[in-house]
Amino acid sequence: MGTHYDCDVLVIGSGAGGAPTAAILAEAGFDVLVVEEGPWIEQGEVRPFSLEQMDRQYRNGGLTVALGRPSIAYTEGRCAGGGTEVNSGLYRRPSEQTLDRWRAGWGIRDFDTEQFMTLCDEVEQALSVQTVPGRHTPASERLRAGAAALGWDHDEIPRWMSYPQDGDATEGRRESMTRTYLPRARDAGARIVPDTRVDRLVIDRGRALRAELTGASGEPATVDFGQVVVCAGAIHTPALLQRSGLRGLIGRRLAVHPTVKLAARFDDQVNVGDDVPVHQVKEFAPDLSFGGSASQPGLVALALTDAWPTMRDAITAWPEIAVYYAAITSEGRGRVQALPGFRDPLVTYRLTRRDRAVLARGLARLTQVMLAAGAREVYPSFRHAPIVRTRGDVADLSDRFRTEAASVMTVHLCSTVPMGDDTTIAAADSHGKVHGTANVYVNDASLLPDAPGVNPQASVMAVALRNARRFAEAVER
Amino acid sequence: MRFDARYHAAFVRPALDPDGPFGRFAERLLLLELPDLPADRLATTVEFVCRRARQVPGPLRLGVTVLSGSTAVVERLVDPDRVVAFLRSTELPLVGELARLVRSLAFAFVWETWPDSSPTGAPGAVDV
Amino acid sequence: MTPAPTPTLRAAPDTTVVTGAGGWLGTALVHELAGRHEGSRDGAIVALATDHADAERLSAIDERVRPVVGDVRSPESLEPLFAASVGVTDVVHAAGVIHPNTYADFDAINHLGTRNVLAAARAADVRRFVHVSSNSPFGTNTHPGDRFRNDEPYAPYYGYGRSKMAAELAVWDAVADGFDAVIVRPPWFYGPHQPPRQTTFFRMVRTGRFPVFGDGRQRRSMVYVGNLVRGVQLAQLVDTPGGRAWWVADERPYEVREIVETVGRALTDEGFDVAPNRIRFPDVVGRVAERADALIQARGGYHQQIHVLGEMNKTIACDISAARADLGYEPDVDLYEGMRRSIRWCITQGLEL
Repeated sequence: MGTHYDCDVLVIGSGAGGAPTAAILAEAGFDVLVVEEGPWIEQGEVRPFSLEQMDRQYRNGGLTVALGRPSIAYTEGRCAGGGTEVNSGLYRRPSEQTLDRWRAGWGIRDFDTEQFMTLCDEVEQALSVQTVPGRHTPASERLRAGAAALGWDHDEIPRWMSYPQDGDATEGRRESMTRTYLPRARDAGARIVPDTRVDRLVIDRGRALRAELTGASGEPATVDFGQVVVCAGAIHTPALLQRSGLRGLIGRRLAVHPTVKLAARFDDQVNVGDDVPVHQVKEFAPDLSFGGSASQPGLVALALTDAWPTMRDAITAWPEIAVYYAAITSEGRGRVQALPGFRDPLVTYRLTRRDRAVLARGLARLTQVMLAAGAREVYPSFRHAPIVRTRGDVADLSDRFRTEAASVMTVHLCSTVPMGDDTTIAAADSHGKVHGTANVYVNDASLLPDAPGVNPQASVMAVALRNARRFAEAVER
Repeated sequence: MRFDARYHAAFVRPALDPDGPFGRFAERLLLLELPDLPADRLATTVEFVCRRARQVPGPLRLGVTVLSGSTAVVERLVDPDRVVAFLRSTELPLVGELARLVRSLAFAFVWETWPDSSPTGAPGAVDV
Repeated sequence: MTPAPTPTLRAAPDTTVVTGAGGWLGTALVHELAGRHEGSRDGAIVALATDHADAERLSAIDERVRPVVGDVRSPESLEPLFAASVGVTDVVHAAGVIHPNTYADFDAINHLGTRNVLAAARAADVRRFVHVSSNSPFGTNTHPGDRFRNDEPYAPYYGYGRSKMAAELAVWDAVADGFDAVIVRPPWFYGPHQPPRQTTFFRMVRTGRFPVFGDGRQRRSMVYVGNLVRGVQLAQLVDTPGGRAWWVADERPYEVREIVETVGRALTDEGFDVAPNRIRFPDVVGRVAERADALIQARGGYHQQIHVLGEMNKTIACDISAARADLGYEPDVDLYEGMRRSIRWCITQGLEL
């Protein structure tokens, strides 16, 4: 039979959605149980952006992929705190236009822009969101300089980091969920159970009664609850709901920010292993943005892999190389489909003709930024890519680029259970309760009606706070 | 026991072991890509690649298993080196992914673990 | 945004060499330079024409115009051009071919021709070289909302685009050697002195047969030739560092359906009967035409109608803010007014629309 838990509210997942949900509900007096599939790992225990981190804190070791032509590799955190523990920590509020689009397009009630921005203030306070007080990394500085030379709009993105007095970018400490909302939840009486996966919710005529769990070494457990809030991320939230018999619009409109990347070699050392650039180029936003990626030697090698025969000699220069990306706001959509008998869902994604064109131009424009920043050589990541040294070579890049031949990837996934009162397109109501159920809520990136065109964690957390407060008012303890 | 747990135990685990079809394919491919990688590093890398391949999501793991199993069958009919040479350069959808997966995992691992490696895998090419 | 500082102008040169002077832009430019009107400049205009008929036409404009017959493909034929230039000399290199007889002409005229003129100009120690380029080295925009910024990556649109890119690269090489050269990039232009193919354009609109793709919301930057002449003159005289390039176009890009509607209105207001536009193609026709254009060009050929059709479903839109900021450029003629002037010019030339 295994362990059995009882609680008022079961929160499934402890990332940017689950952690604030647990904290708000526990502080409002609910008996909250948080079940997290991954392990609890303290900040600093694992080297950021390393293969060991991939192994321990990412789902499937970071080797997840949305199938399509081309397939899009994606990554998700799988640990206490979820993606907030392992991502770049870049924080950006959604634009007012995005909020207007969501409100009008999906019929979201009580979704006032000013109130939403107040929630963002609260998140920023809680996570000590700030810009770097001291020096930026050389790779970040190069991106800034390239954009400035072209006269292209760019800025520094604040992060949820705390720094020592006048600290440099590399001295920041991530104010992730294991350091903020999860301790708050625990202090308010929430129980947090890591290393335990929720296999299925038992739902009877729209009311969920029980959750069936599996522990790290395969031992079963059950939870009986009054309400359940699913915060397992944009892939595993819909997959769990589907496994529990809920279908309809769930998992049908996956939205991502697809990216293509390149490596750029400069005349001096720019490689800083365990930090990412904080500058982004916003000249073409929201259609297209440029930023920097983690660049330790393994990741430089990875960026050179697609055109290895042409580019392999550059690998020994990795101290002078940094990796950058171009991200687009995609028109395409994907699907998440739980398969009977499989632990992981099948994820697919289809880029549109426009998406492909914007990715191609994005990579060329990013190359232009690199040349303007003084890059000696640029190595775009796609099969048969040329090494770019001059403006003329960029034409060769554009000529040879095929989206199918590129390493397209994403770290931003959302919109698989879009919220809103318009039941023809929204899978959950304006506050995250799944349509057609009595007590099944979603409160994570799945609820965002579409991709916000900026790093989504601010949007996810503000929505989570909003819905959790509403839940605390509306639901009896 | 779930279906994927059962087939994992029966087929995937042996197929994705270092001495299974996938491991043998990875080793041959890396001998071509990184001919100067010392033998102990090669063995460690193949082990890493196999361990990671076992972690990929179930539906994809099934694909990797089937593909590498098929190469093992084809290798009984055709010279294994020619099979690896074909898979190394093919751009066929799905089939081409096998070599890409191995290369991506191996290169990331080799240069994260031994950042002094030369383009062919020889130690001592970079002062670190 | 803070207003740009008023740019500093250099003194007008003693001589301005204009290549491609018999062409659309070249003729308009010579008319402006030689015109006897307020603000017009003193100084000689040495005009490169491809044949004697053009040369006679140019010399009839004003006594300051000195035509030279030559061909940019032949370096020797350019010698008299600079022999005729006295004192401080600037060059406006407007020679080029957009719809050639054969594919090989693209490179021979647009690229190698530019190299020849550059070499001759450098040997003659000219002050500033203004190269007239195009949108085509940059291809097409990815979607209707996109705009080309001033420094875009090259992604040339077929043969013409490649040859104009190669010409720009030749200019950049000269700049790297210390030569004072700048580039003006006009998109599709319209206005007086137009070649015969533009009357086809008016006729298609008048008879309701202009091909509009999809919803007609693709955007096109266009430039009234008078605005362009103004931009070229500013590029020549404003004291900027060499090595700059500017988009010179009308104030904003137009939607294709707006272009058709505006031209129709301009024709109606000039007394023509205009049939409602009927030709709507699905987007795929444009893609097929583009594919056909690519195939023909790959085999060394060129087919004007197919090329134009293949381009019609694309957005080609640029942002002129750099020309505004650096040069103080302000386009004062808009599409409706420019098209009316263009139609009136056709009427005075006795062209049938």
